[in-house]
Amino acid sequence: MKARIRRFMIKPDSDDFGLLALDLFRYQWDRNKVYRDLVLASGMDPGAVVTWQDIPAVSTTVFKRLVLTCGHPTILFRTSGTSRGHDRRGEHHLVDADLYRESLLLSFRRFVLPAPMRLVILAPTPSWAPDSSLGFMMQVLMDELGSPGSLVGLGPDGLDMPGLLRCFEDAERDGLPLTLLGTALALHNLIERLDSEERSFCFSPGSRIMDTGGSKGIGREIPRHAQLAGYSRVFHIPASRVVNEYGMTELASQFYDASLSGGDPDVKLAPHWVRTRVINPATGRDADPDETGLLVHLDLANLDSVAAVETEDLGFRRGAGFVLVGRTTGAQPRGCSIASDMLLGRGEV
Amino acid sequence: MDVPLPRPGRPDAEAVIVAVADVAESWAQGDWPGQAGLLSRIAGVSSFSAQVVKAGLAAHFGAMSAVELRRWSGRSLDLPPIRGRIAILPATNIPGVGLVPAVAALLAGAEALIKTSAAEPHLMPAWRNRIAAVDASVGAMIRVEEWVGGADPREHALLAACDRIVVLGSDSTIEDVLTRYGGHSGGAGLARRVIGLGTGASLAVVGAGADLTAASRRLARDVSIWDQQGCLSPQGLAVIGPRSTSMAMMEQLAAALDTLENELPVGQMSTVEAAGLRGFRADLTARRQAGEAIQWRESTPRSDVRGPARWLVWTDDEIRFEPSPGRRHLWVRSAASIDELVRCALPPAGHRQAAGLDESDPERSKFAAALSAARVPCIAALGSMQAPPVDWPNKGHDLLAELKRSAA
Repeated sequence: MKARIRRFMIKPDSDDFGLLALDLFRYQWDRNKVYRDLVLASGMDPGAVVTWQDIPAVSTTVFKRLVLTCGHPTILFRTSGTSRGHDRRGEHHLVDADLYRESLLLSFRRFVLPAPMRLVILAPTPSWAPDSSLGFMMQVLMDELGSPGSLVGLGPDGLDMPGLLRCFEDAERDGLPLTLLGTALALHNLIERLDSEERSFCFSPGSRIMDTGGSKGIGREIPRHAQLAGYSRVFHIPASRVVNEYGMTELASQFYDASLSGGDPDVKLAPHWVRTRVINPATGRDADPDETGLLVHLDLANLDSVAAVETEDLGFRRGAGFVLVGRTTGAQPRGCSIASDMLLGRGEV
Repeated sequence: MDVPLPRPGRPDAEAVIVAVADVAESWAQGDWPGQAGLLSRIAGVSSFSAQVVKAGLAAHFGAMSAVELRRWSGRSLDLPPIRGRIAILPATNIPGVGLVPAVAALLAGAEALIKTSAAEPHLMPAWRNRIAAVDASVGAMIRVEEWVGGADPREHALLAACDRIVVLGSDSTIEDVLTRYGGHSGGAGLARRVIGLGTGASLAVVGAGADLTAASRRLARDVSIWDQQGCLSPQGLAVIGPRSTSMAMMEQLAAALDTLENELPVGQMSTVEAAGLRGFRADLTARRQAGEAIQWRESTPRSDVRGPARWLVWTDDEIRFEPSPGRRHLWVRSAASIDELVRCALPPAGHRQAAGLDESDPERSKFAAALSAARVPCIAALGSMQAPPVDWPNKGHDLLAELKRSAA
């Protein structure tokens, strides 16, 4: 199954997505007892699965409670859990990272960077965040696409400002483009530091930024336009050279917007081995074309766990992809009534 | 820019009491002109069924009898009436939550500027018009304006003309208003005093000796009116007794919620709410599959009602307070004693609002004493948690006395 999926990832006409997805469902049904029990407990008839859209999806919530695996896992990724302080962390167990790496590199080369370049990474790395899927991703990118002069500019103690300044100055001097990769929060912090020192840089054409995640955890929302303005002001990298990545620990594949290819920067696109449904959360059925709903991804690279994952993310269809609207997690703030995140985040009794 | 309010001779507290009580009584009698249409419009823009809106507003107005208003007013008679203008910025989660603060402002002797929002723009103007029809001078003390908080350029001028700002809403809303108008940040250069009535959470407490069937029926009503969207809505039920009692209570409560659903149907929920409930339900299933001793009862699907469960009651082995996802989803948990409940399962300090006790419970006095000692400001009777007296201590505040004292 792994070889077949890998072949399909490299050569899209080698297989049919729907048939492959159904075979993957049967593969996981046979090997993943927890998944099987969940499906049966929900009253679903596995015999009624006749298209890829019928494949029962598992909520990301479940990854916080149960181990969903088809074999003997050797790799564990955990969610950060930063948006809900006391919440459990979701766990994604992989037997190996082969498809994860394949998926990552194929997509990244297509949507962000086709060839090696100087990389500047502002994200966790496995040395200090061993269970972070983002850290693993960054390490793979550094290994495969980082050219000499690349740098990891974020550590457990924060930004490595001397290293970053040296790297940026080198890039300006040698005239070679660079790619900044990092969380939106880390990049925002870097911009604030450079703004405070009245520093800015002018990198070669071809330089680009890939950011991921939002501004949660800093107590205020940073509008996207402000973030993009910061990139332009400090690095002279225009919005057309900025790609936003959307990924999740529970998926082996990632989504990117189409900025670099001149597409709609609001639309997230997936590689051909991932399909996304937008469902009406009230009915579980496909939402109307313009209707906001819950995103359900079917990722063939999720060989070792479950292929169909129901997220807590809201979005709507647009073109070949979807627009991410926001996230719903548990109880919502309701006027003077209880706000789950707020109460759970405090703990004083 | 100053925004003038009509300033006729100020009516005294008794005139306010008579007018407010008269209007409340006419609501109870169903003889507000256009009352049915008003209810329909409120339900149309809110997320509640028309039946819930009707029952909820009946509770709001039911508290405003002349006797109750005089009792409230009498408690702070030793303080002189204040003048000036008080802004009321109500939360938008429940229609009519601005009524009591507005009445407090009027009883204190001040004019009331009441903000409405697009989420429910109908009730407060209608109330103001009814008051004016009964007593023009009292009506002239009330102004109702609709604006988008923080986004409307008129906001600054409107609030600048007020001496106090009473904010009901989430803690973050209050912090936002404090930052802009509270004076401590100098945000708008205004030194205004903001009275914030922020996030609160409530629960029900029942002892094993209570009449479980009757208590369940009463609790189901408290849960169903306003669909657990308010700070007086019980998020869960703590049973002081063995697990077997909480299991029995879960069954009784499920039956009661099921029955009451015909009288008080659940409202339409947003996509975000439906998504939250979907994730919550998935979590329950995962917890059970993970081996937790968790059980639940939920509404049976109906072909004419789309969406997740219309109610759900769950019980498990935990004893802690947990915010409900709302929409008639609540936990039933056992505590060995009221002391254990106080230790482990109250909302966080500063967010405690109400505890509902049942009239059939032989231990309710003991429970009330323990909960009051634990600074739960409002001890209510099950079945009337959504119909508190007009002077109920919202987050421990006596708003009328506080308004008067703040001016003294």
